[in-house]
Amino acid sequence: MRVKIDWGSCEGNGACMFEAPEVFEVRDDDNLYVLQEEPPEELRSRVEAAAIACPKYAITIED
Amino acid sequence: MLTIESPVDFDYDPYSEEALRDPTDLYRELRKRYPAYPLPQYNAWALSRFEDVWDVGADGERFAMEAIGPVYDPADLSLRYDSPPPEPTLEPPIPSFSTLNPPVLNQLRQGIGGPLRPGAVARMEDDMRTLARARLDELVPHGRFDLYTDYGGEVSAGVMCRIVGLAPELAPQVLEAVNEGLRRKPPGPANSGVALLPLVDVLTEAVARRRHDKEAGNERTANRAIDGLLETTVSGRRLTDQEIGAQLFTIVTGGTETVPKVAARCLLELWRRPEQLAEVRADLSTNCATALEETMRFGAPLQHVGRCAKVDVELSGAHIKAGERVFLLIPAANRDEREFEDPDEFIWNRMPKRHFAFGHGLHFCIGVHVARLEGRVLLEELLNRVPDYEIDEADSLMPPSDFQIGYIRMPIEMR
Repeated sequence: MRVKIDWGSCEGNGACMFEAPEVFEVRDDDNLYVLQEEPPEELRSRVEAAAIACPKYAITIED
Repeated sequence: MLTIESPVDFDYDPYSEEALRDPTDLYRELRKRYPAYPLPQYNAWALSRFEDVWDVGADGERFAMEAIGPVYDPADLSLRYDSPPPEPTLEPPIPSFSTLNPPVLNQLRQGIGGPLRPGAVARMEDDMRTLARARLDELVPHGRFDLYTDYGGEVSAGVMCRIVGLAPELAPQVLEAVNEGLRRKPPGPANSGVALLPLVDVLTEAVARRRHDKEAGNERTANRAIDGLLETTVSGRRLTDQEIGAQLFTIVTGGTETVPKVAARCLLELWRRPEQLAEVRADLSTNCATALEETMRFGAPLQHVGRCAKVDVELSGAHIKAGERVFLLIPAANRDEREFEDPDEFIWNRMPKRHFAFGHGLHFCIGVHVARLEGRVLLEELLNRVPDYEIDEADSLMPPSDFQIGYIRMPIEMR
């Protein structure tokens, strides 16, 4: 699984970080950092939850 | 399958007297019997169930913003399209981001949004508290004041002045300008915009001053919202002062008109339920945010936002054709019994996993973090300062509106 961010849409709201903090981190500089671009399979459901939680739909998952 | 011309045995018009005053019962009936209600006179459908409202908000592929923007002026609804709506023109002057679609929508939001992001907002907390405490220092000794205008409104306008680089002394005038723009005379043409022009001009002048300073290398007057937009490129060019002023105007009005109404409403609902107020008071620093979130679900004032179908869509038994509009009835969705248990009950610690008060998708409220923090600070500071209070309901005022139905006068008395 590969995580892709639409950087033109992402506004650093941080909803993804609540769902999957191992993968997404919005830091004090208000930017999103993807900690694992290819997270392990056991995180799939949480990464999917992060994609759904994003109010701007800036996250897509490629298999 | 309903078509937009289908006759129905139930009358609903978003601009009727009843809908402008208190549409709660109408919304309940719509959810139950006509989740997609045909409004042929506006070439539109009214959507009232949570799932539909949420899905359309999220669906930038099949639904678009028209040039007339998300908050409909009925005078504009005579425009009809038999196919996808024309894209808003990007000829100068580019209008507010709130009326645009990607990619320009996102470019403008990226440009203006720096000071609205969570970390930047969190760093404003002390300033917000200072503003709120200063207002309370002045107001509480009077024993009675207006929660909307004197307290929340002044603080909200002060916060927005800071974000867009206006002098804090302008806050009362900004509030007045925003309130004047909200005074609508339905059902005719709603807001001519005339009363608001001075605010647009004031903001455009602030942009011109900052542009001049920035070009001269003066970082003392740096402002993240303005600077971000000065550096934004749209269609291969930079934005004019007027275009940037229009973007700032949107966040100033959005940030000033809603939060104080929600904060006042929260204090009203808690006052009506002393046992809930006591629970909130047990830990103000945690519980105010929770109570505020329920207030947004229960009584956020914005009535509807609109979108236009780009393709044919089937939804809740309706056949929505390309070029037809949908009214997303926000308070109807937020009281949908399919999404919320006992939706008409105010339960301060309900903690809904989602609601539509900030929208969802491309036009998700850009001021969400400011709203949440400022609302929490307004509640916390007031409840900290005032051990016991009464709301003068008889003297409270919630004028009919096709836009925002919320209290614009709510006297509070110290006990």
